[in-house]
Amino acid sequence: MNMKAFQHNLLRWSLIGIFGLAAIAVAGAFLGAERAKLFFHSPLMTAIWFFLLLCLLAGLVFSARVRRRPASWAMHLGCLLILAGSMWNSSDVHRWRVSFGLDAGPYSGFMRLKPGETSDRLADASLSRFVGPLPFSIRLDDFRIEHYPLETDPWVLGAGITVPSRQGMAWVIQPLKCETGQVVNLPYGDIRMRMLSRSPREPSSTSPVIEMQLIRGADAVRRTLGGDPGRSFYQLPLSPLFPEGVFSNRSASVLLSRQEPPVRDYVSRVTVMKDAKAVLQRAIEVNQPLHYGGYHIYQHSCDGQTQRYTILYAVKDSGVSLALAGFVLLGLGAAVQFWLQPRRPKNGGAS
Amino acid sequence: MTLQATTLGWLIYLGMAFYLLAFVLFKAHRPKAGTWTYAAGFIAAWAAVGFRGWHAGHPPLQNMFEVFLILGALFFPLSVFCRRVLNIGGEWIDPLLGFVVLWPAGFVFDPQLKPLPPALQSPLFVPHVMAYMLSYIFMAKAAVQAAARLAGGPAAEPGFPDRDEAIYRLIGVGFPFMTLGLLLGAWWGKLAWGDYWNWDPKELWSLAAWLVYAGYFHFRALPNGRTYGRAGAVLALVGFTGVVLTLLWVNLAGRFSGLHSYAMP
Repeated sequence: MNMKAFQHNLLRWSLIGIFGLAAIAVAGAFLGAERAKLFFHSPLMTAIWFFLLLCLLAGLVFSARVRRRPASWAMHLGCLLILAGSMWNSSDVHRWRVSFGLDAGPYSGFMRLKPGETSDRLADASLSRFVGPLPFSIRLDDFRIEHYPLETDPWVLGAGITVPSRQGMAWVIQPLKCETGQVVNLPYGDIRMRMLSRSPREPSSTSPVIEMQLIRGADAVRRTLGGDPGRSFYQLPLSPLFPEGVFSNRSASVLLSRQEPPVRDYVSRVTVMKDAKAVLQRAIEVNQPLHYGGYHIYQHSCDGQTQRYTILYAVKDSGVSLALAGFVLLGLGAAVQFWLQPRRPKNGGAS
Repeated sequence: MTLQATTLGWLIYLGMAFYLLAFVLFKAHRPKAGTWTYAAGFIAAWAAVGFRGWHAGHPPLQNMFEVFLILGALFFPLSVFCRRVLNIGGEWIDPLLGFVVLWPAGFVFDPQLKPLPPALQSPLFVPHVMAYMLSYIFMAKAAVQAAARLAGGPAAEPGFPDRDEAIYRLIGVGFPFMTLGLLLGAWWGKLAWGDYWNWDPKELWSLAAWLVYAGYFHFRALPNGRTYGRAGAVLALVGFTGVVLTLLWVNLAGRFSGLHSYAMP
């Protein structure tokens, strides 16, 4: 086979690889992220990744079209570096590196820390199984959740029912807009509600006290909701009040709940400790991981509103610079190839 | 379908009305009036974008409503760029595309303002989304040319290169934007979630679309590849189908929930 024929065959195989991977990516999108991740790390896909790697390498070396255009060469080299860097950064390759003594420490893991605690122990996602120690320790100096200010009254009066959800039973609440003296229809059990009084509105950390009259036909009952310091949710079940009422859902209730303001940021202030000495102090936030000792450490989650502890996620940084170099080459190569050196026909016709 | 009887809503409807009128004027062979009306639609659409951004306190690119609003506002300058710089015709249909893109912002998606979640507070937010938006418009225009090519219309509009060349030029400009969007998104994923690639459905659709366009260029490099214009046009349409699915279906269908679910309407 002469070189020309080899180059054409290489291009055909590359096309098969490109369109094949596109088809597999579409199929993977139907699997959901978790199953797709497993699939794209399977032995079959590993073989396909190597095939693409080989095609890219062969293109860089043998394709005259690629070699004579530096921007095209940079794009192909960029793809190759991204693929190689990602493979080098994968957990499977990390395992091999560790088994051959080329690397040490866990690939990734989670760390739960309370303020003042120091740890080097990484656990799995459930935080129940120890996966290995970091080569340094992290002390959590402080953890806080920053919120956006609430622009409306945080206390919401509503009518709600519970329905099954992925996280168990969840409330579906319809807000009730009702001023003192007004009567509104509740969406359940043919019941009306008259607001008798609502006081006080401030301070917002303590709930208002709402006195109401619930009416069904000739029956009427007076009830009060709210007023307990520290409570953020009040429920008044309707079916016990009107046992003869027809309720499609027995959980139908009048509810008073406090809205949580939207989260602006999660901030963990940490100190990195090496040999019992503080070597680095900074805040880890979403989008601002800490990089130290071959690991990137991320703000992962926390225990919700109580802010008792933070959960950090640590992952090895091997191969990252390779992939990043690939990003730069691919991005610059594409810009130069198509924007700065586009091939235009001289006569405006087909090139 | 919900009518938005707000200042923002009326600005969107004004933009849509100008776009529709511009399309009619172009079809009625009144190009000058069409261009001026198209420009008026552009001003109205950007007024809507500015109004939204002022109220939101951040560039309005957070959810589907804002993304479609921006898309609708980007058409006019890119139409002018395509005609003047790329020497590509088909400007007359662009106002109709702008109208179609503004429709979901005007009638379908929820315009309720929501604060930016922590993951979106990144300097990569605007360049990542804008790179994709720009690429989507070029790819949409390429798909229109491809559809005309496959529908058997005239091979070229008078004074402009043939449709195969137009498709190539449009994808040639859009592809680097798409590449930048993909790379910036991957880098952002590394900073926010700890990995460049999380196998999220939206990521996979965007990869599939990018690969189809990469395949388009490789296909043209085949011996006699440029002579198979119909196949190139089919690829342009398949790639744009991937773009639409990346943008729309993945966000709308619960089946594809994933890390990008915050963009849901």
